[in-house]
Amino acid sequence: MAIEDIIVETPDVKTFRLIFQERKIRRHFSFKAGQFGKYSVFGEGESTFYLASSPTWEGYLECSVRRASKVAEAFHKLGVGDRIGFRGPYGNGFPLPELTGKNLILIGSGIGIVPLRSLIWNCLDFRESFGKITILYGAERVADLVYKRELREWESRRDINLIRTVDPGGEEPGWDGRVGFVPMIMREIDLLPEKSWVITCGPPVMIKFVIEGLISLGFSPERIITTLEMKIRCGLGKCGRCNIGKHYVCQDGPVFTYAQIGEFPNEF
Amino acid sequence: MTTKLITRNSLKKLMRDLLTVFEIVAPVQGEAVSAFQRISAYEEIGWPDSNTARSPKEFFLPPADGLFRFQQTGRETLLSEPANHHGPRIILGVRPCDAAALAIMDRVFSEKGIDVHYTALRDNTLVIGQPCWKPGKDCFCTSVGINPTASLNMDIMLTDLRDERFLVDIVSPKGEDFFSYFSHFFQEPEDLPRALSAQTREMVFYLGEDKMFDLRVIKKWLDNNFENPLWTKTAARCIGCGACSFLCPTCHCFDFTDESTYQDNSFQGLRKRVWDSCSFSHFTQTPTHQPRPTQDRRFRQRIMHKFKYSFDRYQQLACVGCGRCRSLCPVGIDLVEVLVSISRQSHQF
Ligand SMILES: Cc1cc2nc3c(=O)[nH]c(=O)nc-3n(C[C@H](O)[C@H](O)[C@H](O)COP(=O)(O)OP(=O)(O)OC[C@H]3O[C@@H](n4cnc5c(N)ncnc54)[C@H](O)[C@@H]3O)c2cc1C
Ligand code: SF4
Ligand code: SF4
Ligand code: FES
Repeated sequence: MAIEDIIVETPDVKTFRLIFQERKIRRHFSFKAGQFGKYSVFGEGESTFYLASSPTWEGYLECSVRRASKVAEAFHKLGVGDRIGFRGPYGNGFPLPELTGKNLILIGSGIGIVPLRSLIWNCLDFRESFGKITILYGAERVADLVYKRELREWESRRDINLIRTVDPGGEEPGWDGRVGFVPMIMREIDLLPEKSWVITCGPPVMIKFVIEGLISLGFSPERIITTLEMKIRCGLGKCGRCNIGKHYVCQDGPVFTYAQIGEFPNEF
Repeated sequence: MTTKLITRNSLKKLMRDLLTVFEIVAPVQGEAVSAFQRISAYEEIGWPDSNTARSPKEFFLPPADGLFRFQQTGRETLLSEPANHHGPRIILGVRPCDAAALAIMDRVFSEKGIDVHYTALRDNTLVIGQPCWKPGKDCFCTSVGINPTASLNMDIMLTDLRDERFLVDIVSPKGEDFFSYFSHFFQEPEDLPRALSAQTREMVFYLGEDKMFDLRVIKKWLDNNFENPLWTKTAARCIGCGACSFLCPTCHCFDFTDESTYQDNSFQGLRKRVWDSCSFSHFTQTPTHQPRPTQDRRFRQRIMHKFKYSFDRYQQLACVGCGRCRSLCPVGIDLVEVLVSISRQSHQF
């Protein structure tokens, strides 16, 4: 694939707009929100990133990469016109049929917004098929909020309720969002379990506290969805790396309900 | 299944012919360890009494296997097949445990998505096995449900009748195909009953009390004992060297790595698949997260995977009782000891 555009999102996250060189693939490639790809910088290796764009956008793909590994570092050095390798899509993706007709509560922090962004734009393309959409998104500092331009756009829409927050100490002059950790802010906004599904993505600690909070608010584990970002290599259920109990995150996940996760051995 | 006979002399002649067409891999006694190797003459075959120290898995899942080459000149990237062309192959002397291990790998590499590299190596290889008549000191195949004299999962089985003749069981369609080409080397087995009964009289396959355990009891225990002091106790000595995984005929975990150079104005290299092991800490280490931070958890993963997870996912164990991990673990961690102690511990309840 060729890099068509690069957007600097935060000091360590860049979004890459990618197009397939082969016209046939470009036309027929399809995926679901919540699926991931394997991206190669030849000579450096291959890494796992979500497909960050909406499945409804045609002609190109996007991925957002946090500079957290050797391969991610190599990605950040690439320029427009450079070529990368891609295989995918892999994984199960979000269960859109189950979400249809429901109120959606999306809770994320940091780079965890990436799979949610794909889902959000996907749902907005069929806005009337969903109930209320609430998004709670936080980051350590204001500078670390990914997709700032889109956050502004979502905030200005009347059919979405977006709450932005930064960790205490991460605010800066002119910040008009909230201050506080995501799990705390979650308790301050009125979240109603009725007819609602929650999808939460982010670092394991955040997910842990968010889920504890949701359970105490009366949400059922069957309607809390999260993603497990175990180390993934092959994406095909062969290399054994992402194994957890009888599951392979790369095939059976990365999207799981909290009810499913409750049955897993405790090592994720 | 058809049964034939072949004399040692005919087998030698057949091998001479085969070597002109096939790559032949057979057990060879090396200086330090016995292993499967490519041979160039019948005389090189080792016919060791017990199984080889290294399993034949490396001929189906090579320790470092080139997947594709890449070449980048300016902005153009060219991908191409690596140079490793695989011609038709025969692997000779595979024992029932290792043949069973191949069947386990087959499921992993062909169910829910086919691995073309593995299946190519599998498809172009004829497996000619041999039965075991005496267990090696570390073997426990019968404890995990494997019949050491069965031709299951082989294409052909050769049984040394110790009278300069071999009994030839033609097991699979692939074996039949092979036989139909070379049938003139083989004889009809007129005195089959006599030959066989001489052989079965020799058969002593009693493993002993200390290698007995109950698989159902173990599975049940594993279902309920993700947390148990046994893990820490057993793995306390484990140095995470990965030898157990590398020697194991069913361990198939791998990683990818890129090898590259700058040459002739272009950046070129090879993406390789290399063996990996759940015993290594980097196996699950991500930049921000380590789900298995200690060696006892990694050891638990290995046992759980072989005796529970693989069973839950593929309805098959991932251990064939070859005993390699217990004979060559540098700190003497013994899988059978672990399984026996689980089995006994559970019986007390
Ligand atoms: C389904 C899925 C989707 C993802 N989507 C995204 C996304 O959209 N955007 C994004 O930015 N990230 C995403 N990630 C995360 C991303 O794949 C990885 O976090 C990251 O890029 C590192 O991957 P790698 O395979 O390149 O690193 P590896 O080369 O495997 O290295 C892992 C890192 O671990 C560290 N490490 C290795 N060994 C040790 C050790 N012994 N001790 C301490 N540290 C060690 C090193 O820092 C190394 O960089 C996703 C992950 C998953 C599973
Ligand atoms: S061979 Fe022994 S020491 Fe090495 S990883 Fe396996 S159990 Fe641990
Ligand atoms: S776990 Fe040990 S005994 Fe079982 S197949 Fe692997 S190496 Fe052989
Ligand atoms: S990433 Fe290889 S098995 Fe899941």
